Amino acid sequence: MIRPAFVLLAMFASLAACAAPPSDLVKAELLADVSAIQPGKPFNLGVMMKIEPGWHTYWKNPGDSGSPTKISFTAPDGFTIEPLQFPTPIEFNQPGDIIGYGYVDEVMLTARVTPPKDLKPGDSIDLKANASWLCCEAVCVPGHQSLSIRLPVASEASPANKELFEKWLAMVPTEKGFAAQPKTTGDGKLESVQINATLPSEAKDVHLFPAPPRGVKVENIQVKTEGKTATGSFTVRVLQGAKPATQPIEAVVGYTDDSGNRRGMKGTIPVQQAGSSSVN
Amino acid sequence: MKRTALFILPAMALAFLVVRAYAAEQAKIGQPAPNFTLQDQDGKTVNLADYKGKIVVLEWFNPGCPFVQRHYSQKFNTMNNLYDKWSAKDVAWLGINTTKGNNAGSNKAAADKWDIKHPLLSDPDGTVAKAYGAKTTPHMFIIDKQGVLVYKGGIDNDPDGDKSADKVNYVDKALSELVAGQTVSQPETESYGCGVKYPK
Repeated sequence: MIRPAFVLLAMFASLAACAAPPSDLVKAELLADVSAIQPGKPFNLGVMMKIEPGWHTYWKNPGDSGSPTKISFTAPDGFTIEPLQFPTPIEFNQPGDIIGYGYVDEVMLTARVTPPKDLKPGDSIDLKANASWLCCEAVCVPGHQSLSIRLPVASEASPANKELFEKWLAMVPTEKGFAAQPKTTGDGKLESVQINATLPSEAKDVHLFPAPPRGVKVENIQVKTEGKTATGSFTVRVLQGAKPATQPIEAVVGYTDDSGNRRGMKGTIPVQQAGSSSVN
Repeated sequence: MKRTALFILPAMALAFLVVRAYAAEQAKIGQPAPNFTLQDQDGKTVNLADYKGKIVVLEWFNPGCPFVQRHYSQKFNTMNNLYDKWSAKDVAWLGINTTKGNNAGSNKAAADKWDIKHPLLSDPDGTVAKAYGAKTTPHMFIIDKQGVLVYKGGIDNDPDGDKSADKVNYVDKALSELVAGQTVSQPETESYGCGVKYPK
């Protein structure tokens, strides 16, 4: 049964066939858009991720495979940290029609932070981010990093990393120009969603990115562009036996404008469960 | 080991070709599972039809994928533990590797490394993965004794491997239901993992 020579050969063959991936595929850094924290005044934190060329990381919904990038920020008591903002992703179609949503080259994920009003100028504040991601090319390599920065508290502050934050915050989808039309069955079950989005002229690489909650399957994703209008649709199935979804489906229409900037529009669509009281 | 060689009945081969063509799009819950003939890590030919009358679990496998590695790690050992539990109850377990460039030798190396007792089948051109709509490693499928696909989805509800409470192993749950003569209460779930590294 055991053939050691054959096994050894096979092991060497598989080692040789698979060149070791670079050890630091993603270089992550925690940044703030202010030089100092002003008591009570909101600011942004961002985790800038530089991705090895040819590799990619994932959006909040990774698509058919992969894993979303996760970042948990921590700040002292009294700080409020809003949900993580993902810039508009791109779509990659991999062999076998495996569709992925994510980022190449670089991405910054941000969160808005509101400090308490009673901070004392002269103190300093430690802010932390735990980032974890899956980085894939021909193979996938998980990575994680604990990041921190220390910012002084001051009554006056100047912007920091201004260009970076402007660039990446502009890529976070906005609700303007986006309309979603749910189609339900007689008993109020969500069946499909029609999306309309108004694009600027010369928009390219238009894709529809749905992010369903757990237990909800989104399929048959289509989008077409005519002039300045993107029309898209997807079908929705609540998986049998799954816990009722409490979160809505989020959908983003992403495009690249004529200056090469990635932009997006978004909206949410509630998942109406069969037997729910909502009747259309 | 009753992995009988095939080529017994050319008529059977013809019959499953038709099924495969019919199911070319994707295997569906409640429909006959597409048949296949693949080679295992010892070079033996394995035909799904040989398992008729048994419950069969298909596990999409890639030893280079960190999600698969986690489920074969000493800490979790999910797949081997389930295999041990359910093979004692006459459930068959087949790993299928569609990763570009895999072969019996590379699967044999993986089986030795992780003490895998079930067959690891090589699907080098991705035909079987396409027939089943396998997207991730792992991606799990369960076929009942009548050859009908009754489960398609994730191994569990713990993509990050950090859940303690509320962790559900969907495959274990479905097998418990099937062996008890019940229908599978969650026939479809989200699968998670690396993308299947199709050859093209």
